[in-house]
Amino acid sequence: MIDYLANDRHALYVVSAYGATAAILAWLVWSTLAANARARRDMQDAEQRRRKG
Amino acid sequence: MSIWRYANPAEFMRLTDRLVVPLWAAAAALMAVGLYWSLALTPDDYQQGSTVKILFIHVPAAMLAINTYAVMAVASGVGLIRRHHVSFLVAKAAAPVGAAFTAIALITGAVWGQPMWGTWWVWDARLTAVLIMFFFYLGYMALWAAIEEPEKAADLSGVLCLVGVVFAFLSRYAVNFWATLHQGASLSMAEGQRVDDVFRTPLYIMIAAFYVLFVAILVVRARTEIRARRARSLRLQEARA
Amino acid sequence: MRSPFAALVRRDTRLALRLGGGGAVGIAFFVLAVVLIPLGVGREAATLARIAGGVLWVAALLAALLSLDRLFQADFEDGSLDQLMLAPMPLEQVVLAKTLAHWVTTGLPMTLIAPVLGAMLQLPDAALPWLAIAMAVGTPALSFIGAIGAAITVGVRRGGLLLSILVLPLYIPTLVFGARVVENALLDLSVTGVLGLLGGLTLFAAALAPFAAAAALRINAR
Repeated sequence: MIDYLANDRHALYVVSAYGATAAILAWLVWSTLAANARARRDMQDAEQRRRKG
Repeated sequence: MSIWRYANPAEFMRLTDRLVVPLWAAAAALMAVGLYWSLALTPDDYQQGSTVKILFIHVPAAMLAINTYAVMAVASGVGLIRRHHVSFLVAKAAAPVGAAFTAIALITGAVWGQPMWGTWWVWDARLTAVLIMFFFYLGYMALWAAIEEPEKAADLSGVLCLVGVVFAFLSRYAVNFWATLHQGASLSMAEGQRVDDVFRTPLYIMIAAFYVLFVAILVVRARTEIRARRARSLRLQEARA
Repeated sequence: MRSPFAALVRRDTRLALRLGGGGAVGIAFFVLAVVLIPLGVGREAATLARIAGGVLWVAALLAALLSLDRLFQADFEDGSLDQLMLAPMPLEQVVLAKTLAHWVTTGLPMTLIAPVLGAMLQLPDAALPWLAIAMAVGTPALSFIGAIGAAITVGVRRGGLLLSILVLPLYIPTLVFGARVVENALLDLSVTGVLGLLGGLTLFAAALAPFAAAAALRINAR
């Protein structure tokens, strides 16, 4: 695999295309999960406060 | 038993609660198989060399760049006609995902174009149409962000989305028409260029992986929106009491 | 002509033409934007003639866009729009009247002045009438499509930037067909086919916009 990349003149393009895609998808998944966790906490807080108050 | 019962936020949450983990797992598995197959098991193309591997992510991303807007249009239409707030929230949740896939399609396309066409960007009809799609997503998200009342934002962005889908078709047609005069034919991909059989199976797997990933992200984002909306209404009740 | 429709068109036209109403300023913007182009691109006649159609149409797009905020905003803020909703005509008709007034104060003067600007951009004389016809046929679409965006963003404070993000992508087909008419005239190709497409687009926008804009105004007025 490493040899293959070193010998291929287009390797840099392929790697950067996959790298950019991975970065965008990672950001998308991470932000989705982070926002979901935040919304879940937010909702539980609001529900708890309602039960107490 | 009708499908409309999932328009109830509680029903939607109950159904998707069971779906989230399998969806992520399926997306990860398909992505792993698809990536291994397309990167390690396919030969280089005799014309494109190793850059053919870029197409395994470019093609699914470009498909989703267009289809996500169709999802949003259907959801907006259902929301406006049947007054289901969950539909609007699904449309809202889909927009950033569509924008991200559009960005991926544009970036991978540019990176493929540089070695193959000798230029990062060509004013080709398809490329231009995808670029225009990106601005449709941006506008839709900007409208949601600009209006504070969620009910109003939902209805107005629904109207925008439906108007947008009509004009997306018109733009596609206009851009095709425009390209007949301006396009250098040597740089465009031959119409209906065949995908060689060796590349077809991994390409299908990657398409499936992207679609399942899209659904997984969409479902989680829709759940986030529903929860945020519930928290907001609870807080409003509290403030009123 | 004492119908409420005509009265509304007259009222909006007069308001726009008043000093500070924005009508004249919009046209000045159109002229200025076109005049800037040779200063940036250079004065070579062939280059200017080649890009004249696109430049004029892009300038028209921006000038129409910049005057859209006055379409509903002032009436929405001072409550006149609520009054108009109670008027003895459907809201769709109100939208149509206000859009027509917008065209009379932006699209029409731009159509009249475009041949002069076209000549300054070195378009050959034979292409100038086609430029005027294309503007006359195409600019109503700018007002109609813009009305949808203006109605959607009417409740957003300082919604000008948002409006441009929403509306400019919708203007793309008009730009493509409008500029193509001028280009075909310049290259001695047939223009009638493209002109037909441009006219179809305007009619389509005219049919769609009153309903979409009225729906958006009703949502905003809730």
